[in-house]
Amino acid sequence: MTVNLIDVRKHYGSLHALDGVTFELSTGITGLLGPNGAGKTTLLRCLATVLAPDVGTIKVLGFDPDHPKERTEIRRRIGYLPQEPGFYRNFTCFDFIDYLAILKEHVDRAERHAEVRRVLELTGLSNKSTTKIRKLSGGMRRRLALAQSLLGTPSFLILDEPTAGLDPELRFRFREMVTEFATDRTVLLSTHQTEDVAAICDRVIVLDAGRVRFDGTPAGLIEIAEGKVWAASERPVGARITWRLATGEYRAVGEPPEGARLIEPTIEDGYLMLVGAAALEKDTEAA
Amino acid sequence: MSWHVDQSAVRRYQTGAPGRVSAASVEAHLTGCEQCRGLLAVDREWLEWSWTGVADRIEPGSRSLAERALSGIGVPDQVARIVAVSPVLRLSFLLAVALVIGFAAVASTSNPTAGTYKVFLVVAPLLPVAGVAFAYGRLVDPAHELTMAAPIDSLRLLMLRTATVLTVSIGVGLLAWPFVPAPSTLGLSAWLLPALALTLMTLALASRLEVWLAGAMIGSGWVMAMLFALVEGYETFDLRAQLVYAALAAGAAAAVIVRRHSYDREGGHR
Repeated sequence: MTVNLIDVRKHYGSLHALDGVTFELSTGITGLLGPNGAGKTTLLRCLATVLAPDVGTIKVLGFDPDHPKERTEIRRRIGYLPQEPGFYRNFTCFDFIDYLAILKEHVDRAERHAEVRRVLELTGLSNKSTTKIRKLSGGMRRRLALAQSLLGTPSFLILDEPTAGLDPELRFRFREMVTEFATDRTVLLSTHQTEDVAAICDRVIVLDAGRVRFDGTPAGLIEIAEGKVWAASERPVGARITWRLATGEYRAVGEPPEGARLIEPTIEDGYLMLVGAAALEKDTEAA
Repeated sequence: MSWHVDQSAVRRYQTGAPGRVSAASVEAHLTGCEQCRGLLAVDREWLEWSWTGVADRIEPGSRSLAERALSGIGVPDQVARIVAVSPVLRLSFLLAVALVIGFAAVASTSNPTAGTYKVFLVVAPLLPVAGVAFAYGRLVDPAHELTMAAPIDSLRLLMLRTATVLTVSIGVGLLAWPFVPAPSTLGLSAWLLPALALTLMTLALASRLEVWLAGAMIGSGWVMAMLFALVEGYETFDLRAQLVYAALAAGAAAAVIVRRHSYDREGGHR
């Protein structure tokens, strides 16, 4: 078992960011879904050993992050892409990754440089190695952040919104890279892109208000919306959410009226049924 | 391409025989012609080694003055890089330190016999505190989150940067020393122990708070204590006061050691 969490709690004042989270992770890709403020980032920061929970037990790769020496052992074996990684804008891509490789104890200069080249190659940034970070686009910076998380080929990869700001082609390349990486390793992927979860995750966990609302397969999440999605020629009344399609029809999610023309649900519909329209509105406002 | 280099020319090129002009001509052709490049007998291992060597010269960007200076005095490359990344070695911070110490020195000269030289003694210890506050933490280091998740010992990183701060700020303070009139040389050195004590107290408090907040609290506490002493007429830089600063420094150092595992994780060590 790569990760083991038992009743993990973290609060900020009166806000319960994590409210008794319990689950286990093993090899493969797990998607973490949830509205903004659900506790996803707090959870990932706890797993990356950056943040200590108030209560509960966490074991990562068999090590206890509460114990300083074991915490270091975890850090040697994980890759972490934070939601907002932060860069030294005057550094080149190569220098930035090289600096982080130093922090990750890659002492030998020649080996370190080879490793830096490897991760830049993996993320398609080889031709940008001498470019200053301030000249990179948002998508390239995201790839650079992803590159640092791959240093040392970690056993457990923690990715907080890795595909945010990536164009479709790069997202497909990301999927290709992560699925290859995860054949014998564990990846926990927090995202708002339900398509990514449907495409590459073996398992999905939905977090809402600091609690696990769903833990199962993407197909299981889709099942929640089975019989709850329909198409209508007029804007339906009483649906949780509805929008007009390019065809001029309306697509509605919620409790269908009698005789409604049901259509195939997606993972997004399942997620919506689970967390409710209010959470979706909160997400839209935040975006 | 309508013409190609013949095999004998390529062989001569490889042995370095044809002279510079012919070699340049062959080389220009080889650069653009894959077919002729195929005629070259290449040691793949050597070629890879060469390209890595070239990349090693090109890819790492130019090192900062601070980094080169540190490497020059024998500091290992990776340590020099860690220290040089610190915001306290930025020109803006160094200028701010120089300006503050300059103003303090000028203020100290206004009426030295009436004790205005003490302005310098009060201000100078605040510089390393400000330096530590700007050396580490989410507020000043854009890559702090990535640093926290790395296996490097956070206290070691903080101490490396603190040592840099102390060296820089004490250095600037010493440069201003000759311009500050004081009753005795000992009188002017009286800021060194308070500087050390305040720096260590900032580090100790940083085991519970963000470093910048710890620095702000210790700095403002120091100013308030000095104002209180001035109003009440207490002597703050005599030998007895120095013993108090030494005791505070020792206590703070002990606290840093005891709480050494609290620096590398938000929420501290449970």
